[in-house]
Amino acid sequence: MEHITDIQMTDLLGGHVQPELREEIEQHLAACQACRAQYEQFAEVWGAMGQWEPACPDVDLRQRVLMRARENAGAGIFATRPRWVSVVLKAAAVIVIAVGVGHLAGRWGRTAPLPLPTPSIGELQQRTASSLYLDMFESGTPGGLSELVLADRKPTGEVNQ
Amino acid sequence: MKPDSAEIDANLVAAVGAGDMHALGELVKRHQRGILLFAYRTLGRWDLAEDVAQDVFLRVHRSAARYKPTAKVTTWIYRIAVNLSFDVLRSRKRRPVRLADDTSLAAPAGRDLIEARERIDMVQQAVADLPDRQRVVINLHRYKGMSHKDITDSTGWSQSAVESLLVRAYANLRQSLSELKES
Repeated sequence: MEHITDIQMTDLLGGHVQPELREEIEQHLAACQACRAQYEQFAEVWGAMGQWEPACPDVDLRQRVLMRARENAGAGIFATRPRWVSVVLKAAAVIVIAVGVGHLAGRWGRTAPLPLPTPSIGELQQRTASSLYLDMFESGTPGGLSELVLADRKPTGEVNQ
Repeated sequence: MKPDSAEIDANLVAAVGAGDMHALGELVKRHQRGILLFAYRTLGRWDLAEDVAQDVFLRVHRSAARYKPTAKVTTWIYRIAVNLSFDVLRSRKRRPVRLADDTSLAAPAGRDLIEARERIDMVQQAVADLPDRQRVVINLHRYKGMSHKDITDSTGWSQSAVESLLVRAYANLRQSLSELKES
């Protein structure tokens, strides 16, 4: 058998070696001084560690655990919801808040429409004339009929024959 | 035929999953000492160990209905305990605190008692000085009697990582103990 590995030594100390292998290892330890010295060091640490046995406090966790478990069970589905539900709920909450804030900001930011000025009679007449293209007939407009009329007039105001 | 310990645990977890609170109490009774000691040896404080142990059983209660018996219940419980202990270690970001008097000493008196106390203090100090992951595997191996396979299942680390941690932990302990002995 080859030399015993460190992990085999921890296995041996922990009692996790199959009987056949155990016998083989023990035979090797009996024959190999180097492995035996190494094993004794492991065994010394193992033995020293065994002396540390903390005095466990005299507590009974049952009442505490049962009380908390009942509280959690009482919280229903929300106590046992999977993680993705929480993520989706948070995302939905963020969207709702963003939409709400956007809506309110838009509402508050909007300025009241300016009152339309009341048009004068002259303006109304002009608009009406414009909508009926009557402005084309006014003097001073290119192609306006009034210009033709004015061009044929004598300075005295007589009309050419 | 009398059911073995693993079978009893599996039946209790199934009952907890079905809403049986008495079964939860029984599960706590069976495992609270082991979990408390593991958490104490990892964290170095009983108050933290109690919090971890309580949370372990609450998580068992919460997940029992979804539990699939692919591994032993104890492996599952210790996996929760390991994860919760690491959460605490990460949140504290410092070494466990040693308590002054936490060890029961049987029989020896006088000089023997003092020497025994010194030896125990040395061991406690050496374990506390280990890196977190080494301390966890040592606790599971030496004090919970777990094999490498069980430790692999309880921690979720690879078997080669567990073996490496274990060997380094024992080597570090050997060195620390010899240094402490000399000093």
